[in-house]
Amino acid sequence: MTKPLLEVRDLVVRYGSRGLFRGQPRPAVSGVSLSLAPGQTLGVVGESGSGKSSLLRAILRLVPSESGKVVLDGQDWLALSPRELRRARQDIGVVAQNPFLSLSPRMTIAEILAEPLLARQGLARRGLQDRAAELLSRCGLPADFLPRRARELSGGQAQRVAIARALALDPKLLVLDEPTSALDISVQAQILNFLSDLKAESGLSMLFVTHNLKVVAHISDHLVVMRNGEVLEQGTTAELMSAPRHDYTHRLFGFGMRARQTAV
Amino acid sequence: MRGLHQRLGWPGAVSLALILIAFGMALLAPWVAPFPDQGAGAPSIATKFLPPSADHLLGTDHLGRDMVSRVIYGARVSLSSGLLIVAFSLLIGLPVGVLAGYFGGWLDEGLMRITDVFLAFPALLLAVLMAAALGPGLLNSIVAVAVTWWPWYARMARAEVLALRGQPYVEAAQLMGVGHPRIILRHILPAAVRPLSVQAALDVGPALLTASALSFLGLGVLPPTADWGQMVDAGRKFFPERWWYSAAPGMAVFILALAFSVLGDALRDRAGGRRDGSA
Repeated sequence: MTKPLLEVRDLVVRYGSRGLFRGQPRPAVSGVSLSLAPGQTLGVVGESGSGKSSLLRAILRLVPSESGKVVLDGQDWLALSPRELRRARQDIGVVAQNPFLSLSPRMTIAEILAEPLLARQGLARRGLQDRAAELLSRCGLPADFLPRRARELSGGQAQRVAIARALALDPKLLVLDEPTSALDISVQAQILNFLSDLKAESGLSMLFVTHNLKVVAHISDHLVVMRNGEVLEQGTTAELMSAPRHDYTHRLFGFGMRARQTAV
Repeated sequence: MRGLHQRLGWPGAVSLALILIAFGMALLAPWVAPFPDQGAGAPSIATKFLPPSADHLLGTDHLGRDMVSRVIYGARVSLSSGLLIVAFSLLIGLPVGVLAGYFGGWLDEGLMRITDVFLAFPALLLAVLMAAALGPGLLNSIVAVAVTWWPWYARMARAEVLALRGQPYVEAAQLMGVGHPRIILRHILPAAVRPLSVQAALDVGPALLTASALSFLGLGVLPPTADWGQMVDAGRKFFPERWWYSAAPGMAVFILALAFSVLGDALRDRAGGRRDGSA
């Protein structure tokens, strides 16, 4: 087996309790381990409150981890100094849930796409516009979107811009945090197909976090099912889909259809 | 486009007009004042203590200077001190609040505790103490008031930044490895400045009122420069026989401070309507 691109071992995330006499809260993520091989896609699935978002934020170092290890491409990720982290983060592309929130309302698409490039190259401005146009076309958008702002685009178009931005620095890993949950059903399919194409073309490694098992099933090679901060089961997508060991996993497959019935 | 009075209401529109007129007169004082040299301070003993008349609509003072001209020249001092107080306060308060809100942790604690110390004193008392320590003069009185003023901006800026920090697009920039200075300049400041600048514009009124209070106490601008607060004080000795001496600058302060206050309320009402989603 090849060396994993991303490896998480016994990761614990606990949000600090405020006040002197409060007890320690239950950890949001308690001892999660997973690994992602290069060129593969790993889906992390769970209902809200399952700890999948905390896991993701801890991996991205947006929240501190209490214990455990995150190794990305051989680097001890949690040990990086803030300065090293800033450089190292450029190896990861992140796509958030809602493109209208994750793209600055005050910047044009050209400025948005230039931002990661500027972060890496400092102030070398040559060829920025061309590179931005290239990124857009790679994501199936015309170059005349460049002077526009995110709010002038449709949800699907805006999410493509967010993906283009995440791809700007040729990341080793693409992290997708519920990338289709804010979009219409028909647009969801388009984005998922686009991500599949991207994976097939460029062999990109992806970490795909979602509450919707069906969304992630056809793009993931491996799945991790989370509940209450723990990994309930994990395995290849085929295994989990044909023979889920837990009823919970089974229910997640029916999430979209049965949500209304269970809510009543 | 809707008329100004429809968006601000009549009181708001009238207030805005009054404020603009005051700024216009202050800027064009040498041209709009009927006796520019007297406005600037030149005495004219022959005409002293004339009551309001066609020649001198607001009468003359103890040195025979036309009160209309004096009040117009006084607007220059009052408005510029109001503007400079707010500007100085922003200059200190904005960086303090932005740094505290953005970086958090011990920096936030440290900066905000310092801010609290300044807020713990009654503002006017602190300003009077500062002005007394620094000595009279326009710049000193501006600094004295700004010292009591900046903590409010620091707190406002901090609150704005805290809200912005959690925005996904700010987080996204952070995750792309964009440096802190660039995130602050490109993402945080442009969004934080808008609500702050509205507040700052409205604070010019209260700021000039405080500056006038200082000069009324003899801690502001020195004669012969015209200043409303100091003129009210000078006229007090001749009140009520020569009532116009104190009344003219007093009314000027009153009207301008009221205009700022009414305009502020009008803008707040408008913003409130927006928040409810009615607009």
